[in-house]
Amino acid sequence: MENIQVTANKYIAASTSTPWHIAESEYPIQLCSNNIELLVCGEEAFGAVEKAIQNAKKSIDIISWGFDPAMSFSGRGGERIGDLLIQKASQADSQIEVRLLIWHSITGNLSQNNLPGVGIDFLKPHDPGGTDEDSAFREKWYDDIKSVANLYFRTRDMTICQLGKGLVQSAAFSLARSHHQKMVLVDYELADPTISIGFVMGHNSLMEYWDDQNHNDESTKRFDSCKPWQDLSTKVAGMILYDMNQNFVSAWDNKDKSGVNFGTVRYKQDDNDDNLTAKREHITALDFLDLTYIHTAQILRTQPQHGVTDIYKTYKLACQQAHYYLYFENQYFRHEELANHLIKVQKEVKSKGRTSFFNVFVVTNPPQSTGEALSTYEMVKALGHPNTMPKYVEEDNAIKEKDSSDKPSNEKDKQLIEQLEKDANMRVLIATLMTPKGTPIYVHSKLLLVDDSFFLLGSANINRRSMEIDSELAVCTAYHTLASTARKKLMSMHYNGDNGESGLQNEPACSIAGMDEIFENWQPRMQTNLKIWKVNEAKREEAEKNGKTFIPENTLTGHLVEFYYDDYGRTRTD
Amino acid sequence: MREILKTALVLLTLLGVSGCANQGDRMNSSIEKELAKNLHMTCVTESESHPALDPQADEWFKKARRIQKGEETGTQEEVIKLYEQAIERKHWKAYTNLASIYLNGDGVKRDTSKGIKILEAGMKLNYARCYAMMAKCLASGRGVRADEKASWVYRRRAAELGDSGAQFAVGEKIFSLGYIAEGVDMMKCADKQDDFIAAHELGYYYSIGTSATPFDQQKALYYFQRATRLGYYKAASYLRYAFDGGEMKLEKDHERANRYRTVMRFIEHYNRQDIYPVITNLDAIVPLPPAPLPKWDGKIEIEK
Repeated sequence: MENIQVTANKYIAASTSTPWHIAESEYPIQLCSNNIELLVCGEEAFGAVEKAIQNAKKSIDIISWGFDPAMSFSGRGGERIGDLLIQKASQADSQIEVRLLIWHSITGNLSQNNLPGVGIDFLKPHDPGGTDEDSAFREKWYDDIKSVANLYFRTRDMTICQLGKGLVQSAAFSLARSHHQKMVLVDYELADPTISIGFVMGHNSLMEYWDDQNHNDESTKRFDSCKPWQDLSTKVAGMILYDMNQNFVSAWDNKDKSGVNFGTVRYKQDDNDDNLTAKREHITALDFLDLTYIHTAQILRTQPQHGVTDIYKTYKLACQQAHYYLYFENQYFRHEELANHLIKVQKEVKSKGRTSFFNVFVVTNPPQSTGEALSTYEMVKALGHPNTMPKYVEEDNAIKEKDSSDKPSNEKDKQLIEQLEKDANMRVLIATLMTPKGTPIYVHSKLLLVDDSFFLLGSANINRRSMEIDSELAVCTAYHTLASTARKKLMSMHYNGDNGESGLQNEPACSIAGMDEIFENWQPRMQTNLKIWKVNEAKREEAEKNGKTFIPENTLTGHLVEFYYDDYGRTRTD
Repeated sequence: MREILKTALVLLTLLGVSGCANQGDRMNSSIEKELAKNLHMTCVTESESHPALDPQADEWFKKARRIQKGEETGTQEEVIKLYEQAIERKHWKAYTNLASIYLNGDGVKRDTSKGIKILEAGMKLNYARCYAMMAKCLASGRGVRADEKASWVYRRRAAELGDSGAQFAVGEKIFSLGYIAEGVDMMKCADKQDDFIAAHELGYYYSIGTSATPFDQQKALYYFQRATRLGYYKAASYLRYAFDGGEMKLEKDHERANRYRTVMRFIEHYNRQDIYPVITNLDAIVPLPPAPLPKWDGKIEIEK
């Protein structure tokens, strides 16, 4: 392994003999001198980015899947990102360079609106949020930046067709492939561990990604027509910035292009920012050495052009190493292969003598369209929860009746049950989030936590697209306090429906009994909340029939709601 | 670049990308109209509405089941033969068992039209479970053209002929459409035949409170306890949570909660194998309040 590391401190070297990192990785494990901080929801995450950009002295590098110059990092009514970036780039007393690299593809943008203001917005299928004034601002901004010398705006396209490699891709798969990474690097060129700062993000710089940790129904801080939103990012410092810069410059210099696509496209005709790789070559990882930073860290990517699937490999390894719990907080839960892998490796763990339950917590969304539902069904079914999607069960066992003593069950089901019987005493909870009034909270997070020991956060969803086909960026650490703090904060936040701070004191520790306790509290609360929601929906229908207005008397407790999907479709969008 | 994008967008719009947004809503309202025609129903059980079984046919049927479950040796050909013989004597449980062999291709070449013919023969004789299975075929398009509305018509018929699964499904559906009282009645009908999911659902209706089931702690406890006794771990899990956390205006009672936890962990293991064991001594383990907790030796007696 090519490992740029500090060898002086034996204690630190010893602490990295953790089993969490894959053997052959693209980027090394930075053994020490890193600092990682979890940022929960837009207010905190964007707030930290805004502060870093305001303080920038030399360089601001941004990679994102989506970007909206009309948005403000500090929520509705704050300074627009577009204004902030132009102001930084044109500061008279300094030479700050601003670089933006955003995914853009002719075919992909037909189904997404990740770049409001570019192309014809009203023809795009998705409302980017905001007002008419915001729309006007976007149009103007893209003209304005043409005269800002130090602001470079580039887009990059993903390969349209890349056949072979054993992937049989549907048209939808390859046409909507994207560069899905989100990262920010501020003052890398100052190469100072106390000043240079980075962000590995789940958030896109788009209006709907902004929310605070309470997800109130009546938030006045969210942007116009934007809904409650759960999302996670990290702020990082130290040696890992070196690897983040590698990721940035190779994309900026268009070294990642392969296959049939436009690669990196310069928006401005006079963009002459050539060979950033060489410009930053003199900076080394050791420039960021600071022994007050105590976290281990590693950058992981999915980068299909280079055959890199480090994120997926690390997920699989984590499944294998887990002994107490797995916590997935992810936009999607659509990867049957990962589920089967988890069952397989946990069976082996059980065969080595574990008798207690192994608890798996999943916080995700119900499918937003029938095209997303089939792959979700395959995964929840593999993990023993087919009944959360009743119409698919009907299709699967059109014929199997619940009274199985009188009626035969089919072969496929027997296999499933046998598999689960030997499933290593694994039990799985799948939750979605709602406000107490029953408004869905959209989960956009991409986080994995294991045993209060391992933490992985980034842009990768749990689906094949993110694990194998799009480009993705994530950071992971085996430094235990990050995983344990994140777990306590987030679990408490979802269970109690507040900002989760009390969880840091009150959540049980990571132990067999502690995880069982959480599991057995979540299960009935999630189910009760789902029932309250269903009863409220029925009462609403009843009131409408009688020409009355429905006012719910019962609200949900906390935000956890049992996963449930009552639609059906067999088409697959990926 | 922008020009190409615009052209592509216009083209795509012409192709009508945003076609079928409201299809689901239209389907729901047509199902609602259909179900609203027949909201009330006399509750019957399957055994009340079906003829007594011919003893010889029942012998054949039971033998076929034993072979299928691997409790007795025999071939799939023999199973089919036994079911066919039972059907000749109008054994109403045999129709769906034989039909499912053909519909699924269980040890034979899949022949959905043969399966559907068997169900049709049973439906002519008003056998509830044949209607219920036909409803599932219609919902999923197995052997017939998928037709969601028709599947609800068949499911409704199965319910009035005494199929508890259909009674639960129709009850849940009309409840969700705002026919709360009728939905609750249907659910209570399914509960009569020991449908534990219906019992669990009724527990929630009384604990949350609706126009037909105003909040009633005692009734809610009764139904959750009943679903627990019928082997449904989610009911036990809820009672544990309720006694620990004081849900349903209960007085917190951790000792009771602990007993439910033990019961829950015990049945969860079975449920995950799709087995729902009746807990015959539940009231001796943890009777509902105000009865005090008796001494308990930790034994859970079940009947699978």
